[in-house]
Amino acid sequence: MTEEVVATAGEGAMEVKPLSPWADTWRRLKKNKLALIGLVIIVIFLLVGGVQEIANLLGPQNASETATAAQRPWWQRGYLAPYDPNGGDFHAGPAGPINPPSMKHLLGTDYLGRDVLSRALVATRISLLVGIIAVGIALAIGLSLGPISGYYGGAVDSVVMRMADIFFAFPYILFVLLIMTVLGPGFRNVFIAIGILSWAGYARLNRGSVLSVKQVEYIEAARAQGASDLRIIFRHVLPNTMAPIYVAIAMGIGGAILTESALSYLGIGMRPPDASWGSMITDYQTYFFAGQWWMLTFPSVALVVTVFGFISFGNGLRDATDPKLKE
Amino acid sequence: MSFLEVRDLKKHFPIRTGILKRTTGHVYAVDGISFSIEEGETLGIVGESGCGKSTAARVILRLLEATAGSVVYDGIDVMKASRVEMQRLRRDMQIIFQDPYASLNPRMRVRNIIGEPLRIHQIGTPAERRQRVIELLETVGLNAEHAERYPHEFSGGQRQRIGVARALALNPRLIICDEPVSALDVSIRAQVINLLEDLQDEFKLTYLFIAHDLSVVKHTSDRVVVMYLGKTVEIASSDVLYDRPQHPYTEALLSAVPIPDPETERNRRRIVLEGDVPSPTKPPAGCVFHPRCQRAQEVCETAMPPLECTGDAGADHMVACYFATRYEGVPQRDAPGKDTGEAPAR
Repeated sequence: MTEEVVATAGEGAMEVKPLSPWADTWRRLKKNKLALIGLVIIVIFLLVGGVQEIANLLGPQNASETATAAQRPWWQRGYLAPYDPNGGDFHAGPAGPINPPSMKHLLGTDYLGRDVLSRALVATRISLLVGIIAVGIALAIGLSLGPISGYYGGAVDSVVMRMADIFFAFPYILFVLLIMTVLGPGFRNVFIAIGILSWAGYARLNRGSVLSVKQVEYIEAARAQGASDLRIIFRHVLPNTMAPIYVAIAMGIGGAILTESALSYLGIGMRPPDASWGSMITDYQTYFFAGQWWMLTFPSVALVVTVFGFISFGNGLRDATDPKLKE
Repeated sequence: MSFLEVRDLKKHFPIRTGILKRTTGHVYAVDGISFSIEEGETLGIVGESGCGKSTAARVILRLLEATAGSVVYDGIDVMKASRVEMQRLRRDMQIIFQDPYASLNPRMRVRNIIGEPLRIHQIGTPAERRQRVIELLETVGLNAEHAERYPHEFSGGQRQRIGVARALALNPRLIICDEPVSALDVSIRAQVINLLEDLQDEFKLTYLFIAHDLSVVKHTSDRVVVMYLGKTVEIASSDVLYDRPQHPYTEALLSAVPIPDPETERNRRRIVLEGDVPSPTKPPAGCVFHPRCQRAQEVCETAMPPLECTGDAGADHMVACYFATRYEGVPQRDAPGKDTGEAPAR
């Protein structure tokens, strides 16, 4: 017995320690400049959005009644911005409410004298929320139905996949409108509607991986030990089918932000005076051609850069996890 | 009643084609095998790839439902066991897989892999389970610090040891070894086989040892079952089978085992089978081996010969052949291979 211990120790020492899947992915992701830029954008976005969400949660409800919002410390204002995003000021500058970027208002003011930077910053929080909540809901549904569909197969599989087909077949915006009529108005319901609509992609993506993973011997080993189906699905199958899902999450958050903007642009999402990038774009588009370009430009740039960040990071992650591209 | 009794076990996989999924045929993976194992012995199963060895193992453990036949373990019919009974049986019957790279979940730590059977069967407190995992690791020649690692950090031989530790966790009485060393380097094989033998002595284990390497089976097994195309063609104790094979297929298999002596190797007679193993979707009528058999006659095409004892090569020696090789009088132990390949006495 002792001899064997020595023998195995030697056997292990001979080998170069292989990289874990995570370390290997990171090693290859590092070489992709575009993906790294995407990652930096995502981190900034998460920080800006996250700090504001915290500020909002600690929020005005804890603040003293006497001070006005602008006089409170930032964590009690409900927003992280130099000015109240919804507070107009008709004397914001010498020319009246509309002022180009200056030292006082870095990104200028809009037609009500509201600070564009403050509004764009507050809107970051909305985009972060839509990304997390919508994708969260979609994952919760998709990653329950997908593995079950793939693992059991047969009739269960057919029912789930035909349901997914139905969700794929509906015109997106129309379906959101439908769900909004059922759930009632309010921007949180937009998140829920987007989430409910996008589960099918995750479910189908995951089902495919489950079909291949369930053939592997460690699944049989778990069954030989007497593991229940649920245990096998959520402890053995699901963790081994997550790599493509991470990519889909990155892409999905970008997509959800874009969808929310599109809905807000159409007037379905955020309601005035609250700001989201999409509603700002609708609001300000008429001023662009009158030469007051700053109102439209900055929220548009924020939207484009953020979505670009998620998509390019998602692309890089996909390339880094794709075994066919391994050198 | 034997410890494990397999009677006329069959597993046919339906082949479904078209959008209506009509059954258009069957793969006769296991087509009526019978054998029994006594407690504490090692029964080997040999045969070519695709002859149904691994399927048989999975059906016995009820990882696949049998088409027909019975498996009786210690008086309990495994095929008819209820959910609760099955859960109890799983503690007694375990399996070690062929591919140590596929049989361990890459996302779990070794501690959780080996501890999982204990958790499933709710044995012990978390602290006791942790202690047990370390004991098991030491039993298979690894050590406590390996518990926190992931499978990819181990070599093939070490992974197979982890697989063995997992199989041992529930103190089973029967372990099915499904080609446990085929995927390993030749240099590591002996270590793992020795480990399995040590464990058998220590824990009074019964093994069903599946392999396609005859030398491995000869070394480990007390008795050997030879399978061909889903059927049992010969069963004998290991020494007898190697010295006095009766079935022409067994003789051909044995003549293919390399002998580590160039002189003998050069001079011995090889039996080279012609053609390929027929597809298990359309097994030949009559004896499954007759299309490739040198002794085949008309009778071989009509019915599969029964597996029976011919009486002249040992009492527990069973063979399914109309023209089995016969041995006269006292077994000639000192001249192995001398009689092989001779024409039948009939």
